[in-house]
Amino acid sequence: MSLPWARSGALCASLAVATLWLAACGGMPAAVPASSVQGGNEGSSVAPTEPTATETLLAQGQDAQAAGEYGAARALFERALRIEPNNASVWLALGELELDSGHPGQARAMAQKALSLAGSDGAVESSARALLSAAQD
Amino acid sequence: MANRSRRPSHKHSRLVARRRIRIWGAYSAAVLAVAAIAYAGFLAWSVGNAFEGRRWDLPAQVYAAPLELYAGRVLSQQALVTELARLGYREDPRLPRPGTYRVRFERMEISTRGFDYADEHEPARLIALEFERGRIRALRDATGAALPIVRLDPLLIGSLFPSHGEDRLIVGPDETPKLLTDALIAVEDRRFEQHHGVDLRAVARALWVDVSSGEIRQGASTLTQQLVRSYFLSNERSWWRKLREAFMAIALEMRYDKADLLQAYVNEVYLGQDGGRAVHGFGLASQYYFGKPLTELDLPELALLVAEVRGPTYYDPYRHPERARGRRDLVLDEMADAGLVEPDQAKAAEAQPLGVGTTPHGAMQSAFLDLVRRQLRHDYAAEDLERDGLKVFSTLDPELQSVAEQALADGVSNPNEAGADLEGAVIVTSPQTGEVRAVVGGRRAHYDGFNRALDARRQVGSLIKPAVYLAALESGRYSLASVVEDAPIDVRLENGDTWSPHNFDDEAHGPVPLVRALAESLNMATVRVGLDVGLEPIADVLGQLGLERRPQPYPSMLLGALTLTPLEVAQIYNTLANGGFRVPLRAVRSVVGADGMLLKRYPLELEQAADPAAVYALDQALIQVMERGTGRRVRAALPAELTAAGKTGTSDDLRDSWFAGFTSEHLVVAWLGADDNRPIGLTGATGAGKVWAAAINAMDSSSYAPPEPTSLATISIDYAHGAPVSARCPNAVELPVPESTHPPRAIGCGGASGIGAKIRGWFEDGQR
Repeated sequence: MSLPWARSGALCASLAVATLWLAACGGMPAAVPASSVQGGNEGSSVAPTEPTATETLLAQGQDAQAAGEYGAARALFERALRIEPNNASVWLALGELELDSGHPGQARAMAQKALSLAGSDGAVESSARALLSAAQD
Repeated sequence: MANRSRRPSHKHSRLVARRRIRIWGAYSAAVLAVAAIAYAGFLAWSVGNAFEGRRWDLPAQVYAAPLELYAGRVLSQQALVTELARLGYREDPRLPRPGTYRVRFERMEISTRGFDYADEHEPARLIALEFERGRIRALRDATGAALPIVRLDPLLIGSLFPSHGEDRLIVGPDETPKLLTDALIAVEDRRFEQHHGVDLRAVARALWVDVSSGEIRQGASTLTQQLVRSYFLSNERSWWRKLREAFMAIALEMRYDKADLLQAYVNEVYLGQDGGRAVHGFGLASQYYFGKPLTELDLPELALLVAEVRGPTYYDPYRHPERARGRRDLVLDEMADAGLVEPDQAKAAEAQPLGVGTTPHGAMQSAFLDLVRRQLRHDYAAEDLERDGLKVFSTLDPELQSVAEQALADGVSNPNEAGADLEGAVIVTSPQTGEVRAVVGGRRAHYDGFNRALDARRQVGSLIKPAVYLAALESGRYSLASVVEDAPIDVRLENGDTWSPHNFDDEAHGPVPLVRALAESLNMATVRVGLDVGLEPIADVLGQLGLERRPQPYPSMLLGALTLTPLEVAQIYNTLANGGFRVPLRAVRSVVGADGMLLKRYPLELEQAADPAAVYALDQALIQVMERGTGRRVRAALPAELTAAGKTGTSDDLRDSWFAGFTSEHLVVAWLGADDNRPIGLTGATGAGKVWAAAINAMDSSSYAPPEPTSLATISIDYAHGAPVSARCPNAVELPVPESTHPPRAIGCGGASGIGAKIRGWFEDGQR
């Protein structure tokens, strides 16, 4: 399938991921799970309207993914991961990409990883579970 | 001629003989001519071959991971200046060109070089950074607009040069300053543009000198002849060789134009020696002596490289600085004579120091490059790596590499029984991505010898214990609060012998909670737990964690009587540091062809290798190793607020000292020992532990604090004997245990309410 959003399970999880980081762009950094735990990118003095490095890379990666450029998307997500290795949203984005590019096993592992970082964050948990079930079949 | 001496006695026979001689003579002349032509053809062919071949004989270049700059990043201004210096950026308040920067109080501006990465082009541009308390506060472009993220150009760390030792970094005409080629012509071969490979006037002059002095001395070689000589690596001084060289030079000049020959010369000439690595060409020489690209060299630097053409050993700027300086100044004078620079420019350049620093920018990180080579060996033949001009983007962090090297250098200077022979190894990884950030293979970090980080198989001792306890936790029959007996035990072995393990302090500690058994590395308790869980499940756990060789399931395995390399230990602990998710360790991110096209990406591969809740609990016990157990002294060297997890390992008779531990961002494995396996008199904590702490302290690392899985509940018990107690009690330790075990509630510090308690030991301990 060429369109990444054509799969219903993937769609559900994609939306969840997108919502998560869009919410962060909108000035609710608390909605970006786990980023505050690890201090990679928590620039408190950065104006909230400016997207962080991780958000920028995630957005660019998702654009690339939508254009079918999976290799480029992977490189961008991995860059984001190096900046915030404990950010569940990045793991979810990578999991989405794995699912779209035909690696459901990897997608499941990434979803599990996101789940392990979710803590009490319900939004992350439900996105991860959606990805997990989309990658089951 | 030999036939003149023949004296035939008869007229007829003389005629026949003459004819025969004539025929024979003509025949051999023809053969000689054919042979000469064939030989000439062969020479022309082989020199052409060498010329064409060398164009493509490019060792793969290996780059470090680039530095990513973004607002919010933990990076001090001083650290950035260090990174820029490593990249050969120069402070210049005018910012005249890429590769320069300026500092004004808390603000820095950098004219970046730009770089073609496999995924996208990073443009050269002007960026401005503001710093605040050790972080980048803001990152902007020249117009003042915020930039989300900027990648600097990556540090070239070395190349996978072939076994014959010739290393080079090919530069194209656009990367070769005209001043350099002009200077080469002015100094080495003034009539380069006019001659046809051989400069007859120079030869005549040289002949005169040679004849009058009776030996071959004066060099009259054109650049083309020098090029030929370099191809065939001969230092023999004979007329025959000179003739052959001259002929080949003419053959080359007939086939190729001057610009091609000059460029080949720029990339071919021998300019330095770095251990077993011969530095060829100006591109690599510029990196080797100055740590920056050829295009950024100033006049005195360029002149020094031209000076080295005459003999990099004799004019070695490190060993013979005064000679090198004399030759450089001579080059500068000749450049002024030829009108390439103004005389006062030359004079000003002669006043400059050599500028090569105290040590060359050699093929550093050779231990890391070893790992790169091994990873690539799965996908590439050695010839491809040595000839195809590949660009390899590695995971190395130059800062962490230098931190690890320093930590080991300080660590091996500890007083110890092995004395000066103490060796060691350090590996640093990023647990979540499995990227190897630094490898130190021995105390002489830049020496290409035995790579202990990859090849030293040493007894791991207690480093193995987390696998025993993880198997116990995964079995569902144990939690961290389970009380186990630390009492003497006799194990009947297959061969009929009896094995009676002892504790390090030779004492038995009685009933102890699992967390204490691991934290204090109690041998007798560990053997009891291990035998109860079973040796096969423990070997399975080691495999899941990433050990590729299955250990023999002998009871002695439980106390670490097996040998692993530091790299294997790093793989196992990386899985523990990544919450039970296994990622194969990687040293390479991607490989790009000579044409800039992406050839191969090595993506992150993740696999859930163990129950995340069990690994979470195990990691909490590894934190207790640091807080209360054998890692206490190591932990004391860290900042009070930094939570880290780790484990000591000490082999029999103190032959091996290990420490493996992690924070949120870094896993560091350190080993100390002697190559001949002599005792070194250091435990895991007093030897490798110090190296580990020194390394962690020099990194920007944050606490290991993953969120607790929802299937676990936190209880508090008495650390010494495991009785449930209130969290406020003096010796209480808080632990995660499975919710399903209905953990007991504690009242006060003396005992337990007992309701729902599943473990008998708690009651017994409460009555003590």
